[in-house]
Amino acid sequence: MRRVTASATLLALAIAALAPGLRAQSAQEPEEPSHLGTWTHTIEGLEGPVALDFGPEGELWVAEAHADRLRRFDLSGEQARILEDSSVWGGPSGLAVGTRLYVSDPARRRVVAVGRETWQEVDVVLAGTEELCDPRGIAAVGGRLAVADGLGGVVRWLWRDRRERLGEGLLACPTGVALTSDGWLFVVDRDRARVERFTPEGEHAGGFGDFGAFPGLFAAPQGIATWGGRVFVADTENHRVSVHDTEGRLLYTLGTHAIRPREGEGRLHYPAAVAVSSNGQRLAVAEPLDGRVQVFTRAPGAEPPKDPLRALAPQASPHYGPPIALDGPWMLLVEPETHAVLVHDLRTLPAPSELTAFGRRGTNMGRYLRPTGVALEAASRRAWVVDPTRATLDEVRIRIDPEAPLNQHLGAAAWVRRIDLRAWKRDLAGVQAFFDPAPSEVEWDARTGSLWVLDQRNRAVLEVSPEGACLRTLGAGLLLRPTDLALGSDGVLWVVDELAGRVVGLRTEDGSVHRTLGEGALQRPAGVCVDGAGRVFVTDAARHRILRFDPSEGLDLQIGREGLGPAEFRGPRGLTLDGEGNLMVVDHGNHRCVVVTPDGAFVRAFGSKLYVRPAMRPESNAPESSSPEGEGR
Amino acid sequence: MSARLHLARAALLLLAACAEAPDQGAGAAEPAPEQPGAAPPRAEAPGQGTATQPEEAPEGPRVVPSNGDGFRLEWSTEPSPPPLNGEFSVRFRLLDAGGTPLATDLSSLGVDADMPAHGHGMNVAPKLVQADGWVEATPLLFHMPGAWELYVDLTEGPLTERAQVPFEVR
Repeated sequence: MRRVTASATLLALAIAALAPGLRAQSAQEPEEPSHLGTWTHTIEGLEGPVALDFGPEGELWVAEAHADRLRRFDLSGEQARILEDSSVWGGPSGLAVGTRLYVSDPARRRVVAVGRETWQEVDVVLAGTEELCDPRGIAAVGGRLAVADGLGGVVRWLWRDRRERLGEGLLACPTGVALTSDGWLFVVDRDRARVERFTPEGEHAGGFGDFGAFPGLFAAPQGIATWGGRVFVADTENHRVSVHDTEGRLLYTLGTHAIRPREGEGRLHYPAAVAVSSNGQRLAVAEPLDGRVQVFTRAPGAEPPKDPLRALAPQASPHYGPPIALDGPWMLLVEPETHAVLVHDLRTLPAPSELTAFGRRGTNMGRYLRPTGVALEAASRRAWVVDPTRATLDEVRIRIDPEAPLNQHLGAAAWVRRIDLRAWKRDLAGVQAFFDPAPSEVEWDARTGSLWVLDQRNRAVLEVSPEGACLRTLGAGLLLRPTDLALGSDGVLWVVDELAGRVVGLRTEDGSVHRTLGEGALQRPAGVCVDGAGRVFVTDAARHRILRFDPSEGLDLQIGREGLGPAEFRGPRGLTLDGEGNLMVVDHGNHRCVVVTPDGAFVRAFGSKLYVRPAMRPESNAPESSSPEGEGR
Repeated sequence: MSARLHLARAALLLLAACAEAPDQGAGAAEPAPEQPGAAPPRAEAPGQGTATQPEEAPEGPRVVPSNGDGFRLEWSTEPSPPPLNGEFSVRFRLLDAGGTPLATDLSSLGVDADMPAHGHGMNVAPKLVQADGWVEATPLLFHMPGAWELYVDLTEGPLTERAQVPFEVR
């Protein structure tokens, strides 16, 4: 029997009881120059490891978002304990080890504390929409507790009797926090590609970093740790860990991009979290997409030696995704590395041609900090893009005649207008809204001319008029983390709920629930589409497959498995149908798009050659024999 | 050896093709980027009724509709046409569909420029000054040759709409 309490007194006692030295950093640097950077071992077989921390005995705790569990590993990487309970944490996204374990529970918008041994006794540390929107990384050191509130755009900071919101108006999407033993707070802001510093009194004291690929710059950094006057940043989309001093000067980078699937031993692929042991002898890096944690130890020298062979290898090709939209001859894809929206023409299949690109990263009008959703209507040559970080919905006109001969035209996209959804705060029709909307996906409704917009902060679907007014909301109170939506010809709007592991069908006429799909079968649903026969297709990014649901039979087909070959996927995300009724899948982890029939037969793949060839010519391209040299997009 | 011969032949063919290419005329203004079958260029000169390249248009203010047809932009540059890698200013006002000037607050306006094919903008940030119903934005700088787009954005409540003018800078 678990006991869940929300005792502020208990909380204060618990935080005060945290021994200052539990995660304390040694003030003593090793006498001989050394660095954390020699790979020792990998812990495989994890399900979405998104957070980790070392305990006082050197043990490593890992939070697995896809499995709703925490696992403890000893120094050699052997599993020692497993704490698994989705009723306590749903998709745990942050973890800090002190005298107790502090765990982010984004499904319930709360942070809980449990004993490391008596974990059945649960204290709610922070909860409620007034306190938290989207808890991510946690740090607990010396009586201080810091929680990154990602979509909330702040850090919740608790110390003695102070409960403050740091970085309001400065931070866009903080995902990681780290505390030094003397109380300095470092915050990694994913969408601004920055690290911000706060004094022990909670005052902002500058920061460092900017978006880019050169050493010292960041691309969607998510995790952070400190030890011995050094700041370790999990630089997710640069596939490395950057090591800085506390003033922000780059000391060295750790890890190179794992180009071949499952390439490890120091090669990194989307590292999302980093932790350093209290004695500074070990560093662990979590890679959710690859389901693993790599552990590094100290080595002589101030920084790792350069790998001359690796230095000659080309940069890995850009990824696609997560969103995809298709209408007529055109297809829209987002390139995460540049934040550009790519307009492709499908008439040149098997490889579509890129006609133009628009957007790209930036804060000016017409640019994006994180474009996560796109919609398209070829007949009127219009596209829509949503950016949850900026709370914007953009309309773009593509000045190309879809019937005209194919021709690339880099200036063809004209930005028409932007709707700032923050203007709707507390004015969303039908529900009481607590947060500025964070639009994460968009769908065009040809029947009415409206747009359906997913709002991740308020966990609802908004109907938006062409004039930019919010007409009504659907699904409020039903959804935990909506990530994608698709409108069926029968007027049912299918909404993917990533954290709940299901797809909810909402009737657009009245917002009532038509049906829910996938409970128990979907682990981390990501993308959805529906065909003319009413069959619903859903990508499962955690299980690397697509599920097909028949309107009468329910789940009737599983398509694909993990891999690089034909009809194999790695973290599939966005999904849509082409004009022939085939499924177009954003195979995000494999840097490509894959086309399969509705029955699961492989048709083609396009994107980076390195990743397309094993699907198109599997007999001559075993993944293990692929060479990164000379391959590019 | 055979491969080298093929390479040499290809190089000769390429050179020959280049020699036969028609002379584009050094220093001439290239046509505005236009897609075959694309929608008509949006720039129009009052009284002319035809789309023209801005630097080829008659002197004086010209008018373009905004991309969402919510307003019209009447504009001119000083000097005209804008120089390559030299500062210039743009003077403009916004009109409704009937040609009546709109009362606009400077805080609701934004002016910027971009090179879509290169994915970058200007390296200066223009300041806006309002006088006699007109707005002057200065400085602007097209620091490299190629296709540029000048943007004027109008924000009203949650909506921001854009008018844009293409330039081919040589």
